[in-house]
Amino acid sequence: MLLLCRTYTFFTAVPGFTEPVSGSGALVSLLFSALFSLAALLPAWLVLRRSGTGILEYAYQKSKTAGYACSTLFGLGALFSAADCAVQYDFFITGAIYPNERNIIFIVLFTLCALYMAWMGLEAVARFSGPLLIALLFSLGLIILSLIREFDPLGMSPPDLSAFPAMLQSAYSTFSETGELVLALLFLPYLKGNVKKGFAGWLAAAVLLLGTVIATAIYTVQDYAATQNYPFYAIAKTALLFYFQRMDALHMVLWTMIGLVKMTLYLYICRQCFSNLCGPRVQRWLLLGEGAAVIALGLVFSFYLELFRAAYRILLSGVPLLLLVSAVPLALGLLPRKRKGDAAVEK
Amino acid sequence: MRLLKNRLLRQRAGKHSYRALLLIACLFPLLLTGCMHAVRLKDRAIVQAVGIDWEEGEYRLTFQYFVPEGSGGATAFDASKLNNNVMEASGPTLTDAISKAGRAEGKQLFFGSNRIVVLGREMMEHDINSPISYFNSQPQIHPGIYLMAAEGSAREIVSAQIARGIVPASAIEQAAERGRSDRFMHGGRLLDIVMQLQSETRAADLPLIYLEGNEEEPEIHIGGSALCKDGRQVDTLTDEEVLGALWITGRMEQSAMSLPLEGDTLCALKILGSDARLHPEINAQGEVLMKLEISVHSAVQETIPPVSSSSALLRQAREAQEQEIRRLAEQTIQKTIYQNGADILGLGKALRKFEPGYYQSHAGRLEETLKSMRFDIKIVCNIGRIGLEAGNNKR
Repeated sequence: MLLLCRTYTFFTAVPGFTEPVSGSGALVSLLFSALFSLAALLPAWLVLRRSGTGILEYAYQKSKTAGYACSTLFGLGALFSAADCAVQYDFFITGAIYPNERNIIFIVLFTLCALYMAWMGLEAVARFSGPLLIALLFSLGLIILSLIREFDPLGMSPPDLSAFPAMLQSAYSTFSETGELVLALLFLPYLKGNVKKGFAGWLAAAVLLLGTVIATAIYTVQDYAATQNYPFYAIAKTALLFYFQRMDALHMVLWTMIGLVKMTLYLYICRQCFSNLCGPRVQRWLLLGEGAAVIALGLVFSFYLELFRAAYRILLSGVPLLLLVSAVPLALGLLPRKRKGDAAVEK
Repeated sequence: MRLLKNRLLRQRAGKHSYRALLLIACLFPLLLTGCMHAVRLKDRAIVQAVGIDWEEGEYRLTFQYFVPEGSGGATAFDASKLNNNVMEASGPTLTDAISKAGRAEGKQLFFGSNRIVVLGREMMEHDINSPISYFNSQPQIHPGIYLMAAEGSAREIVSAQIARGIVPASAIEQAAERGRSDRFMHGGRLLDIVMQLQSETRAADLPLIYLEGNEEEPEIHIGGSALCKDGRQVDTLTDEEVLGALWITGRMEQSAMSLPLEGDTLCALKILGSDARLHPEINAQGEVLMKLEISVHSAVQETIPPVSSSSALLRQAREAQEQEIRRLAEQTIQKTIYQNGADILGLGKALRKFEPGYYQSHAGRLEETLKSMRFDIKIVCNIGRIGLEAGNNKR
């Protein structure tokens, strides 16, 4: 699921929002972004490795106030990320596929589908994600196969060392869009087996998959993709394969499903966070409330592009991600543990 | 009693779930209707070809769109008929012209099936970047459509009623596809031209398209290229120069070469495949020597008069082929690089890949660097197949 989420962010990224780095510099940026992700999760790993719980449970172990604060922070973060999913999808669909249609249709329908998936539960989404990942790998294989005839050995040139600061900037921007790190922290209680290995495997798979896609683009239609707002969609559109010819409809359907999985995870996590803050009567209506909030936020951001750009700049600064993934675990680690007597007083 | 009650409850639940399934099955088709604005097929003009001319300071667009001329039935069409209409519109911008065309015809223009865009001579000499950028940004347009230059007006090409294929645009598309597969057309797709325009010299070449035959039975011919730089046409490449470009960029394959040999013998070779490698070397004086190595694999198709494919013949054929390829490559380099400083051969890319430091230091002066570049061309020819006829049967 996390791998699908990571690929979705990559596919719907618009170059204009970040410093453009092309060619082999993009591969270098990808590697550095993975290193930044590892470094950012280090405090959380150091703090949580002994407790064996998730970050919210750990916060509640420290104190109720810390638990409430963390639940609120992570819940709001997940809510904004869900809205961001809907808005990114809306921009992609209205930019690349249906330029004359209204945003409201896509935001509302996308959110309703994700709400239903969140209501079905995590297991259903996880089961759905398995075949979806296989379908995605298959479609990527088709794209790469059909681009073989465009292969140009002159496409890949060595990274320009004078542009190293730009590569680092791009790597940092890529890292700051990796909201899956928050999901990884919050899904810890649901994971079985060796979590460290699983996380390292996810990171390696994401780098390998995205690196393959970037390398394919560099060696084939890099110069054309650089002129497009959605480079990877442009590459997918270019690929013509045997009798199938155009396959962009196939890719669009796959990416819609991947976007739904991503949004569902955030809605689910948001519900888990806010359910810690309210009673059982309110918990029943949490999903609907989240849906209404996501639709409202999504419509505001999609209509007021400058507002969305301002919010996106805050996201790209890395501050929200570092706050949730590094600063909060660090702060919790420094808090003294709750004494036994405090539990009796709180009761 | 309890068992009876449970049985009744199960029966009732079964009826409810049956009704629920029936309701879902009836509602499900509603999802198939889509939620976008519906446009009937008869209200759409399915554009097959677009011609863009520049007249009196504004764009003049010519559209060829599909109109079924059926032998019977509302939607049937007769492939022996021309099945198209042509409409024209003009405006200060392409968007304006397209909008006017739609209003005049009372149809919504649909470009998803568009195969060809032709730029007229005046458009080529005025500005190619704006129309290319427009079509590059449209979601309906596929990057594989053919983008060509007309010697005269694009209107003539797009409105020509060529009786081949379902619509006349099919004939143009077939000619373009034949040009690509038989390798007498260099690039030609929107994708190729956009990529070429990203080069440092902002140069590209668009295949030239002509009309031949009379007005009643016109025929399409594609030959040569319009060489463009800095947004407009600067020169024309002949068929031989286009072949040279194909050799230098390593795209030559499945084509034929007829070569004169000793003793008035002609030998026709089929090119099975070729490869080209560019590798720059910088000498102590900072001059660039571009090493070009072309390797080609061919088969003997025909000799006139028929002679046995002896070692001597093959040696002569290889030498003649090498000379011919060298001549074509040098001719193309002369026209594109030395005369016009238009890098459509990927020389800047090779410099960036193999000599990045030199490339960075000369980034703003690449055209001068190209014009002062020397070339060392090495051609390796291999003839691996000699056909089925045995040598003893030939006199």
